Amino acid sequence: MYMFNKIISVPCMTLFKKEVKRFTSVFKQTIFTPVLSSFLYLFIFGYSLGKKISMDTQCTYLEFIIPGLIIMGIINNSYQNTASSVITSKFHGNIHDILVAPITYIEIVIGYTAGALVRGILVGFVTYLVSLVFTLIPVYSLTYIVLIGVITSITFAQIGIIAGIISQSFDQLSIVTNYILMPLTYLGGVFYSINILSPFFQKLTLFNPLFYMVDTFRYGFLGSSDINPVTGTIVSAVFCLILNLITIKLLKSGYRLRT
Amino acid sequence: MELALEIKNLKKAFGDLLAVNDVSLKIEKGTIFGLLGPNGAGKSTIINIITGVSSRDSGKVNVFSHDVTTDYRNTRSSVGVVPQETISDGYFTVMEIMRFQSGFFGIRDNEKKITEILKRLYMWDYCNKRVEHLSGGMKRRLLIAKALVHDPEFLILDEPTAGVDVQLRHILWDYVRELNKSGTTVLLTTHYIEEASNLCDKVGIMNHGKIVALDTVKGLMEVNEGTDLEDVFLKVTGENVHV
Repeated sequence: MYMFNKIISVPCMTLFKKEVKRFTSVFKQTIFTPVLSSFLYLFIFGYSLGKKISMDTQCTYLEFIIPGLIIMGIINNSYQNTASSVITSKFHGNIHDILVAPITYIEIVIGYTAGALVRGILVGFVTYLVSLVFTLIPVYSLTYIVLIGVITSITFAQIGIIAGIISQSFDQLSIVTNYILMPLTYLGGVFYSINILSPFFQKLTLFNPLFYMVDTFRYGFLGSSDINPVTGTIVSAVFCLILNLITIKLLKSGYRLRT
Repeated sequence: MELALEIKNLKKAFGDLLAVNDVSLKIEKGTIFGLLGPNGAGKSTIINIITGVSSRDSGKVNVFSHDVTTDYRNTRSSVGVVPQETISDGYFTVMEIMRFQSGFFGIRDNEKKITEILKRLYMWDYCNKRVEHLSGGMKRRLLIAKALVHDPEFLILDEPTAGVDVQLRHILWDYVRELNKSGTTVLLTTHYIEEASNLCDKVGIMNHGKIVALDTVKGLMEVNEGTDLEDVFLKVTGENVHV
C-alpha cells in the first residue's frame, strides 16, 4: 500500500482523473467516432466484401479483421489521447500547471498514460461489442488479449506524449499521425496476414513493431498467428519499455516544455 | 533572518541574449518584494527559473534553503505562482480546475479552501462556469485563485494586474496584504510603480538582465535623489531608453 501511494500519488491520480474527464467530456468525438468507423470497416470489409475473401486459416475474414480493428482502436485512441492533451496544453498554456507543481516526471508519465489506457481499452471494448452485431468471435486466450491490449495502449500513449512534446504545431502533429503512425498501423497486419506478402515484404514487416502487437493480439482471439505469440509479447514489451524510458528522459530534459 | 528566496550569481541566456546576468538577490521571509524593470529586463525569466518553467545556466537558486532543481518537490510545494499570461483550460469549470490544481499539489479534499479563495476573489458565482466562458478579468482572477489553493508560503505574482480593471487591482492588493500579514512572503513584478511603492518592503530594479538598484523604497529615493519611486526607476533604467 505504501509503494502504491508512493507511485500513485495524489498529483498523479489528479492528472489521471483530469485526462479521463477531458476525453469523457467530448465522448461523441473520442468514443463514438472511432467506434462508428470500426463499425463501417466491419460492415464494408468484413461483412460485405469479406464474404468473397477466402482465408488459409479456419476463420472467416470477418473474424480475422475484428481483433485487428480492436487493436487499431486501442492504438489510435491511446495515441490521440496523450498527443492531443499535451499539444493542447502547450498551446493553451495549462501545461504550466503541471510544470510548476511538485509532481515527478514518472508521475506525469503514469498520469497521462493511465488516462490514455482507459480511453484505448474503452474504445477497444466497445468495438468488440459492436463486432457482436456481425459475429461472435471466439476468445482463445484472454491473457494474451488483455496483456497485449494493455502493452499496446501504454506504448502508443508514450508515442502520443513524445509527439505532443516535440510537435510545435498541430500541423507537425498530423505529420506524425498521417505519415508515420497510419502507415505503420495499416501495414502492421490489421487487414491481412503477412503470409500473403512476398518474402521481401514479409521480412520488411518484421521491422514494424506494430505487427507484433496486432499479430499477438489476434492470437488471443483466434489461437493462430503469423509469429510465435511469446516472441510477439516480448518484442511488444521491450518496445513499450524503450518508449517509456524515452518519454521520461524527454520530460526530464524539458525539451520544448521548459525554456 | 530566514530567507524565502536566495539567488546567487544567476545567469541565463537565450542564444546570444543574456536574459539574466549574474543576479544575486535575497528575499526575507514574511516580506513583500517588488521586482521592477522595463519589458525584457529579465524579471519573468527569474520567476520562471524559481518555479521550474525555465532552467538556469549557472548560479544558485534556493527557496526556503531548498535548491529549485535538485529539490524541486519541496520548493514547488511552497511556491504559488500567478503567471503573466492567461491560461485557458476550456474543457473544465472553475471548480474543477481548482480541484485539479489542489490535486497537483497533493491535496485531496480542499473544498473549504477553494470556497474561501473563490469567495474572497468574488468568483463564487462563476464556480460552475467553464473557463472558455469567462471574461479576461475573471480568467486573471482564476490564475490568482489557482496559485493559492495549496496555501503557499511564498507567493509569486508576475504582473498580476496587467490589463485588469481597478476593482480587481484593489481586491488583489487587499488580499496580498492580508496574506502577507499572515506570514506569506510575496514577490511581485508590476509596471504600476505606484502599486509597488505602496506595497513593497523592498524593491529591486532590473535592467538588461542585471539588478541595478536594490533597497527599500525610501532608501532608493534617498540614494538616487528621486522624488518618488517612478523617478528613481527612470533614473536607474535610463529614462530615454525605455519610453
